[in-house]
Amino acid sequence: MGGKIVDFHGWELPVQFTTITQEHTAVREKAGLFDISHMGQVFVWGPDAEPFLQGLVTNDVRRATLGKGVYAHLLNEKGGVIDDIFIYHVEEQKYLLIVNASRRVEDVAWIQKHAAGKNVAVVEATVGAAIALQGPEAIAIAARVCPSIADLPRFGIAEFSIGETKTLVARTGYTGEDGVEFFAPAPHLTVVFDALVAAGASRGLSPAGLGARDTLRTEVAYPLYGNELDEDHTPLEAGLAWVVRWDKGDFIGRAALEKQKNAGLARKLVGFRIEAGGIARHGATVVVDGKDVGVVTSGTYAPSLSAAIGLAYVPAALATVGQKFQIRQGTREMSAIAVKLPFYAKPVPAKA
Amino acid sequence: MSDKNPNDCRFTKSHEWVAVDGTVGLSDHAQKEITDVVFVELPKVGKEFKAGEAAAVVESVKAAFDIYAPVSGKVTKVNNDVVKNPALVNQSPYGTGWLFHIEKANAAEENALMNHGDYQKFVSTDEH
Repeated sequence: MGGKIVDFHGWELPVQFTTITQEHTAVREKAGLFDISHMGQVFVWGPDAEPFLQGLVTNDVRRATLGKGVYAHLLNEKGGVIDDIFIYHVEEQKYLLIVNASRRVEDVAWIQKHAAGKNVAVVEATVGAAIALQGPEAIAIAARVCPSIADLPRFGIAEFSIGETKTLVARTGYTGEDGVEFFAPAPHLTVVFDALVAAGASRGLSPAGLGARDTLRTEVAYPLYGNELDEDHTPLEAGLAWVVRWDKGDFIGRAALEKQKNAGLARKLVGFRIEAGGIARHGATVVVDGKDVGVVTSGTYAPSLSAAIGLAYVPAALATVGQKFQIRQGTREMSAIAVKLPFYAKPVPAKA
Repeated sequence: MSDKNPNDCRFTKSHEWVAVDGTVGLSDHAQKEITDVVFVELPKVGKEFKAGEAAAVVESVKAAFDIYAPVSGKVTKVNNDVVKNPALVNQSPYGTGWLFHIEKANAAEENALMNHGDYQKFVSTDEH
């Protein structure tokens, strides 16, 4: 299929096939197909699986009833984010964790360390591949290769057969669009990939790379590990308090989060739009009244908004809509204004 | 401004072209590599540059690229259309996508730059 390839944590991944803007627009308006095989797949199973995970992550694992998934954070004792993951309840006492490529090794070591002495097995699927089909046409395309996929509820996961090939399919994604993700061993997924490409040809399906994946997720303000999330920032600071369920009982990092919540947040993630001067990038400095006050975590041109947008950590008092910032990037200065998140919300279709 | 014929232009290793009349732009090869140009920052009219100094910025969705003055001189005109519509750099790199116009300080300087044929060899023999 061609495309510009980059090395990403040992995976050869396409950044773009055509242009980022074209692929981005295809996903917003029709559908795009991403290879996301770099994502780690870790199975946790056994009689203790649910209580074990419950003590390990911020969200309430009981919300992942059989056949459903939840998004959650894995925290260290200080409340810093070790990784942001998706937990799918795929079988009785069996969970599939989708973890970031950059954190795979740390995650598995952390999970295994805490699994010691518990009746639970932690196994990484080393040949696990994954593809994401995203966009308003995604479900119609998936239904062409397997009609019952259309019945999956949001965050639902189930095994489906495409021809002779079995694959897990989840109604999730990282683009702000409806869509599904497929998880299976690589040889199986090649069959699924080809079937989807054929089924999508008449519906505007475009191959899409990491570049578009990043602009799509930034527009809807989904965090990227290593940018918005790391071991030095908590989910509360990242504006993801909804990922933390206080009513679920104890979990690693809870005490630190409670302390931070009670003391009030010193810094917060804020979204901004560039008003003049260019496009802010990861690592640029946020300046207010001549003082360096924060750091840009993500910044990009947003094709759906025709504007430059970004996210930054700043003192909590400055994280208010309408706050003006200067952004310094090398020798360049830009002006920006804090805006409401997400930057992009899907227009609600008018009721017929 | 009518389209420049690249065969009449001189090229830098950093992918700028300069025409006989001092018009400066980005090569077709470079715009294809950059793909979607979404932001252009141009120098102020009257500003003087030495050859090789950063004079403008072109940004794609994912990255920023400095544009260097191919020859020394004073900026006499800039293309405001390309600031309003950065996609012109992609659509017409030798035409409406020109960036700025420089009054050459030293006509001999551009002899050191590549002609179009040599530039095409340069970009095809190596990854730039």
